[in-house]
Amino acid sequence: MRKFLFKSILFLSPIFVLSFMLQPFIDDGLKQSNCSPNFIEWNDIFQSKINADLIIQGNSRVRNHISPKYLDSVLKLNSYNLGIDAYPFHMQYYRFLIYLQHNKKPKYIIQATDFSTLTRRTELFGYDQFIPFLDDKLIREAVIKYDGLDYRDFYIPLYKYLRNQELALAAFKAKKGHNIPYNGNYKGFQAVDRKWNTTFHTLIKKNPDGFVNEIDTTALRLFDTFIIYCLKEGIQLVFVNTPIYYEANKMHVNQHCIDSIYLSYSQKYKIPFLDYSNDSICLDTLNFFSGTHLNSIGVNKFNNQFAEDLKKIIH
Amino acid sequence: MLFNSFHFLVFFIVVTSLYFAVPHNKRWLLLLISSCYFYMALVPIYIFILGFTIVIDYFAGIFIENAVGQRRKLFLIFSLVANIGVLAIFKYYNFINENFSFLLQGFGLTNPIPYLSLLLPIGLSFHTFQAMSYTIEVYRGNQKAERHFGIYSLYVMFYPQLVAGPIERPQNLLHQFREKFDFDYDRVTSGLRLMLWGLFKKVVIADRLAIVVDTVYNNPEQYNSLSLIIATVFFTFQIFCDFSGYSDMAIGAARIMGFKLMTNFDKPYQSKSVQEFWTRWHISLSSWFRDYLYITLGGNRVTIPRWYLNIFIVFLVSGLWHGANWTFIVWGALHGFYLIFAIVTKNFRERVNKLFHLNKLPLISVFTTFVLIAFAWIFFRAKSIASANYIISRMFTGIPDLINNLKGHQRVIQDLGLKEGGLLLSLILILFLETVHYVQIKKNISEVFTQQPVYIRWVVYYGLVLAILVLGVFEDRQFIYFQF
Repeated sequence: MRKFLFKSILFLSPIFVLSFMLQPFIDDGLKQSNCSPNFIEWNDIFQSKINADLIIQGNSRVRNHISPKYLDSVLKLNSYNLGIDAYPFHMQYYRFLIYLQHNKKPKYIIQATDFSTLTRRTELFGYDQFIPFLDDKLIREAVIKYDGLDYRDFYIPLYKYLRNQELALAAFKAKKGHNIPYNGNYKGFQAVDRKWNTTFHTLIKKNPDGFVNEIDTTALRLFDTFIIYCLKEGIQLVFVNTPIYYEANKMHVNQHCIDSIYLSYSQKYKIPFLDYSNDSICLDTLNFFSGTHLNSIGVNKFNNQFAEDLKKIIH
Repeated sequence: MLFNSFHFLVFFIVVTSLYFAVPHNKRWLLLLISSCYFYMALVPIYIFILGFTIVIDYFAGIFIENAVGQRRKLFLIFSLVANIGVLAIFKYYNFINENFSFLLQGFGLTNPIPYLSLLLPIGLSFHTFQAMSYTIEVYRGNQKAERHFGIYSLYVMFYPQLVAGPIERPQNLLHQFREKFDFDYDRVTSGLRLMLWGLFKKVVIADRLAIVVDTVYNNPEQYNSLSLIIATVFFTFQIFCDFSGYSDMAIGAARIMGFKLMTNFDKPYQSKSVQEFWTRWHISLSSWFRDYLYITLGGNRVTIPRWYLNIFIVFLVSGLWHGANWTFIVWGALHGFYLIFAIVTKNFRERVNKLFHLNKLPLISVFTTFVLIAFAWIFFRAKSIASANYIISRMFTGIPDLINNLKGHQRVIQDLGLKEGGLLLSLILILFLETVHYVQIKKNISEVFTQQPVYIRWVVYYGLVLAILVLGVFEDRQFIYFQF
């Protein structure tokens, strides 16, 4: 048995040592890689490259809808879109905390307040974006609340790359200087140049009773904490409900309850609330590529209006 | 829990370490508790079903042994009915009900019998057959009834082979739970080697090929003739690597602790006939059917038509054992037909072989057998008979299109769900696998390998580990035979 244990340790040691050495190497390569704009954005956050005057927070609707280019030119500010696809407020809040840890405090925050902001998500969407950053405590704290990554990915070297070998390959390529050309987003904004697709009508047929978006108490508590922090730090908050196609809006049967929560915060803390959910943009499918997302035509129209509205509030 | 999961790795290390640490007379208890934990990690509540059949068969064995005359047969029948009954309810009830509905519809009637929404307990077919072999062998006088309830329970529940075999015989396994196995370096390393090879086959080959098979077989209408042929060939190797990989890990895990489980696969695609294939594929199941069904029906000691019928029945039942779907029954029937055809045409084929000296070209027999087996696998994998028929017809009717595309220098290889270079890698892995099997026919690779210097052996081990880490597909794919 002693011979076996000795040989096992001898056999396994190089594997463990190599794994411990390789993991930071691969993590670093992946952070440098252009295989996803998510890595670049998280990298910019961690490397204190943003330091924006104005940040925009929300999910994909914010990410696809609010362009820092428009805002910068109208408001004469340096803005950045911190929108994160598919996540309600819980992950948005953690992204904000990590941003604060590494970047200067913004003067203004545009916070998306839509039907999904205060809901709960169980599944870790696009988990690969977190993989090279799992050494960060806040990232771990954020992702552990979702199904997708767990303590094995955090603490066992290279375990997270077993299901993601292509990421490890991209990391090696980046390290060797064979990076794919950056085709990414401008300051976090992701334009989508697609036409209206008809799957929305299938969605309506399959869900004739619409959707009830359940408010998550943890998200509500974090939202409250976030608002109080902003007030305490003198950060001007603006709530925005960006346009969605009017028929999609009708499907959210408890939207009035959700809106009343935002309205109550807005009234209590004197936070401007720009609600575009009934705007004329919402009536035309030409402006959308899906029921809830504007295409580039809609984005242009919306941002022109939004920047002007914001200018009145901020200045 | 899956053998290719981190959970199993931790479980295996803990259980095996404890196994050698606890006193010999307590080892059965450790293994029984571990096996219960292993089974309950899947669906906890189904331990009660397993418990039910264990209690029935434990007492049935004792009653059979103590009884005389017709009472012995009665207790055996009771045990078999209980086991088959559980299997029938969980596995076949809805299938039978569905076909009953179809029959009634033909007469313009509706079926009043409700469907049950029951999840099939993992490994039900395997441990049921293992339990049945116990009571049958006690009845036949080949095995003494086990009086120790814990040891008998362990016989049914022994975790390495609980969910997907090998389906053991009591004469082979039961007595081993009483033997004392000390730690043996050579035996343990041999077991680990087998587990490593099994894991390689599962995560590197089987799960990689599964990507193509699932992509094509889930939507066969979207794929051309070549893609359907590739997917079918890939499935042939996927199911082998998946199942034999599992068996290797099971046998290896048991071997480490000192237990000898029967070999379940022996290079099946090197077979020169379908008859030979069934002596090399899922050996524990085919020998079970031979010993408990085929021989009981009379085997070949009957008239020729009855002999053919016996073969056909055995393979029909074998097909049904695999699943409650007509596709499995057709698969079984095809194999039955192959065997009967081989028997009927035996003299003719021998004359043809002699005339054209085909015996000197065994590759032709191996290839022909492979094609026949692969053809039958289409039914095994397809979602329905209609889907299987579509795949088969498209394979042939799509050939002119393929040729035209080739002539027109157009792309014939479609996107099959693999990344760049994935198809080539898959083909290389299949070639590697069959090369190893071919060499194994000529030499005892295991023996030759263990005689090599340590640095050569370790290079191979590191190579396999690296292949698993770099090329392995870790997408929580269940072993195919778990669903049976």
